[in-house]
Amino acid sequence: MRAELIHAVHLPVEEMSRFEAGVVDRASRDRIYTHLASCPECRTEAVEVHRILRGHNRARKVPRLLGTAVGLAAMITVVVVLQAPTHSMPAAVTRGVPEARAGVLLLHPLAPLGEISAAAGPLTFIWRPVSEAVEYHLTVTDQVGRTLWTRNTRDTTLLPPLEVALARGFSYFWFVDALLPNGESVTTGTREFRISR
Amino acid sequence: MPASSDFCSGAQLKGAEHPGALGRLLVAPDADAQAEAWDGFVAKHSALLLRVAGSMGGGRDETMDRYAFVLERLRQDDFHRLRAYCPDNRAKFTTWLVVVARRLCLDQYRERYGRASSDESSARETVITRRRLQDLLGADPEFVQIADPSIPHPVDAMQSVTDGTVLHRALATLGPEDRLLLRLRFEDDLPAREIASLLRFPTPFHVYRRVNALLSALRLRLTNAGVEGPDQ
Repeated sequence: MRAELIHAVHLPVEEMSRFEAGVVDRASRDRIYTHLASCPECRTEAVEVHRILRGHNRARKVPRLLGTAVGLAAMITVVVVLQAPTHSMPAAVTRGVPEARAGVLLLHPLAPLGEISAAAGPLTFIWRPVSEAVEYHLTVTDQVGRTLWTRNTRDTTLLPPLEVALARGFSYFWFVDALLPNGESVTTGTREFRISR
Repeated sequence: MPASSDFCSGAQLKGAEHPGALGRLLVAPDADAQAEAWDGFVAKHSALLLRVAGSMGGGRDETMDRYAFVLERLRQDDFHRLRAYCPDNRAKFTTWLVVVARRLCLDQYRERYGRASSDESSARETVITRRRLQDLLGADPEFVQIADPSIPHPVDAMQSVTDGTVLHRALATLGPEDRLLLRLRFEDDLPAREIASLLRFPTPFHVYRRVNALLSALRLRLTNAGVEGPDQ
């Protein structure tokens, strides 16, 4: 009965947009979250709206970033031309600085990448260690983003269990997130592989 | 799920202004100015509206049909729907517009194909959620199969009802945000990365940690309530 009442009225447009914007006030917060937890339709809407806006914002950022990159490239060219005769850039500027702190995605995926052969032995996920990482989280998904397998590990190789059946001729995706001691994380980014027929 | 809402009250509007293109549209003094403002509004927001229309699936033709439908409905009744936007909503106009446009796309779908019955899929999702939670909590796997006619014995079914009720009660003790988190993770099967973004966790690892903490707490409650795991 209570669930039926909750489902009878969906979240108004204003509350849904406030939830997405992260500006839900304290008074309505519990009600909105309670409704979302019990209403699959509103939850789907919240997820879809979030995806749409995130995709839209990313698409808008690309031209801006390109413009910024062009500007920076021009500045760097000028600086290099002006400074080249006097001294060179010290080679060890970033030595000893953890790669993740340098703001670069440097959790290197090693395998599987691209087209792989089923005859080459059991499928094994391998990535380079990040010295500071305390835990890695591997996720394997299919082409539509459905999660097929996830696993936490402190190792840098993982073999999927037999029940994770990956078919030949299909593409799959995987990524590893490493949690650093300071609470930050680095990732391999999403990598694709395909088991050849 | 209505695609429009009530108009702003005077108090809500006080001191707040509609964003540029919308403001020009809503205060246009005559038909020509309104047509010009509408063109400006469409030019400014067409990329976003096309993205909404495209998010509902189908090919280019379906997307363009939905896009045209959304524009038509936004323009309808002297921009009735757009006038419902409250500038002090605190959410950006584009966020509000995406919600409205998506609901209009659903209206268009329902006009064409009718309203799908959600009872069956909802029941299936509930079973899936409980099954996943049960797997993680290590409780008796029978309790999620109450509706299955192949259940061997009424006593088992009775136990299943009891266990299901215990789990339901344990879940009810969680806060709304935690319940939403578990739904997103185990019913909607969203990756931690996306949940973190949606619920504003700093990283996906904060999601994993929270989920693990919740599952541990639930497992303890179930154990205290006498629900045994499969290996006990």
